[in-house]
Amino acid sequence: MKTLLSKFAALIITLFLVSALAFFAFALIPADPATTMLGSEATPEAVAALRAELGLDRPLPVRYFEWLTGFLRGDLGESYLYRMEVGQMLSGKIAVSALLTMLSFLLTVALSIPLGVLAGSVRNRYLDAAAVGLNQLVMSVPPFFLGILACYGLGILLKWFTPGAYVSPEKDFWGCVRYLIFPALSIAIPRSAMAVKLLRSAIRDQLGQDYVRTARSRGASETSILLRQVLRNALLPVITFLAVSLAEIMTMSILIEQVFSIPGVGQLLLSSVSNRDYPVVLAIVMLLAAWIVTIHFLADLLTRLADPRVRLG
Amino acid sequence: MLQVEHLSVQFPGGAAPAVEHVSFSLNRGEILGLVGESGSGKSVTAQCLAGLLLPDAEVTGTICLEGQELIGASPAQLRAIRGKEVAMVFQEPMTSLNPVLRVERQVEEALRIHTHLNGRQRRDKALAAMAEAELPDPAALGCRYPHQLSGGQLQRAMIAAALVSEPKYLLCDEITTALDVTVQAQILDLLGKLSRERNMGVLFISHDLRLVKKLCHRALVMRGGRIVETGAVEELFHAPREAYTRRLLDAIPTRDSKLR
Repeated sequence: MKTLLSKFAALIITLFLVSALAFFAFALIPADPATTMLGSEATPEAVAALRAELGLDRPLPVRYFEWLTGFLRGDLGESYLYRMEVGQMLSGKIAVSALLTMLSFLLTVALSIPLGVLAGSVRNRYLDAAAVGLNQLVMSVPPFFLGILACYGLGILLKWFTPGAYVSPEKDFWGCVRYLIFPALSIAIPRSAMAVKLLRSAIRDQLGQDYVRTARSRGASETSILLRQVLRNALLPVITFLAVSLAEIMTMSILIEQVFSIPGVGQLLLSSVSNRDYPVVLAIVMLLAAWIVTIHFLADLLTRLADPRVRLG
Repeated sequence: MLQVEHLSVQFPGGAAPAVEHVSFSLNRGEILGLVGESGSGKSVTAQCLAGLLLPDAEVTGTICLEGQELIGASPAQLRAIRGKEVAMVFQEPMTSLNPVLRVERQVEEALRIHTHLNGRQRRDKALAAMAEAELPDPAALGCRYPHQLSGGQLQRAMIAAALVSEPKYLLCDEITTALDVTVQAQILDLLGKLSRERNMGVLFISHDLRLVKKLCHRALVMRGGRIVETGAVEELFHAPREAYTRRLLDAIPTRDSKLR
């Protein structure tokens, strides 16, 4: 309980640090939002007027404090470019990115656990070496490249889907899911390969433990030893890895959204950075940071629940 | 009766056989000691009796369990015997139990495998076996995880897990080595009692001759994979015929032996 509280406190402090770093880093970037919006031909007077309107002429700490208090009250600020509430701009995009993240995560889990068990139980030396080699190869393909391959191979050649023909989930939920399966696979395949590698070596390691010998001496079959005794132990490191993956998948989807032209948080982030639309960028950075920190916190909690040896610690 | 004749074990790549022409028999109700230094082939012999050796080990000879030949038996036949007819307890109680499963769940494991009893019946039998292994408050201890028990308690739980399916033979491979002296003595008393009450044949493997002398009826002395001497414990300890046995006996520190 005590460790839990201190970890929670660390979570809050991390988020504060991230917010401060992000805010001041954007203030240090030389390009000025007002100049970007008005173009390089604008008169200095017009730029100064816009800066005053946006509140950019006030000292930095004051702006940070105002932004932070607003943020804590749920007011994410207003976009410089669209003159729109950032919260409003984000809500639809978050739903799309969250859907992509969840799909990728579910696929990762569904692929990695059965394949990992299979890889862990292969006895044949050559088959094992082939599986390890293939796994290593798949693991090192970056998701965006796999996405490009999927667009070309599955989309253009095999016509399983039309790259770019994204449907919003409000219009056709299942149509949206069907389109998102392909970007989700591009994220899930290399991720699962990492989880398979981890699970395979954990199973190998556990199979050499004394309690496996005990189970054999009781007359348990190899399959039942694998599934009922070894797997629970071997999954412990994999659970942590998969939970942390949930955080990384979210950030990976930023790139994948570009490849598959999905109007999610990632696209908004990239366009906002090039438009110097800082309130939007800050909100997204905070969102991602909060997601990552929370997931790590929950992963830690989950590991504690799964392993009786650290449960009470 | 468990009858072993000309048992030899050769591991691939091993220079000499790990076990060579070992013959002995173990009756129900008898406690047979197996002594020898490490590497003498004691554990390999025991693992053969439980059918636990790696598939690539070359095993020849005969092991006859109540009329059934174990060498050359199919894996399924061996599984039906392991834990049911012949149970085994190992040296390291701390690692011999699965760390993520509750103790009671592991004590009843053999019943899950060999019987069709329901959960309630399995639990009752497991708790009874734990009581028989002299574990205090079995119901409470059974709900704990292995890391929450002491070494002595874990070894008793292992014995309970071996007893639960009422095996005819119990193989004990250095089961007291990791325990402190008082717990050792208690475990020896327990083994003696169980062997008598259940008419169970016990193979007691140890490098500690004092324990063998205290517990066993007969003993085998192994060295380099062979049996060098065998006989009733009194004879063996009072009038050893073999020089090796004599040397082993001389190595026991006594109250009179001086520190050098």
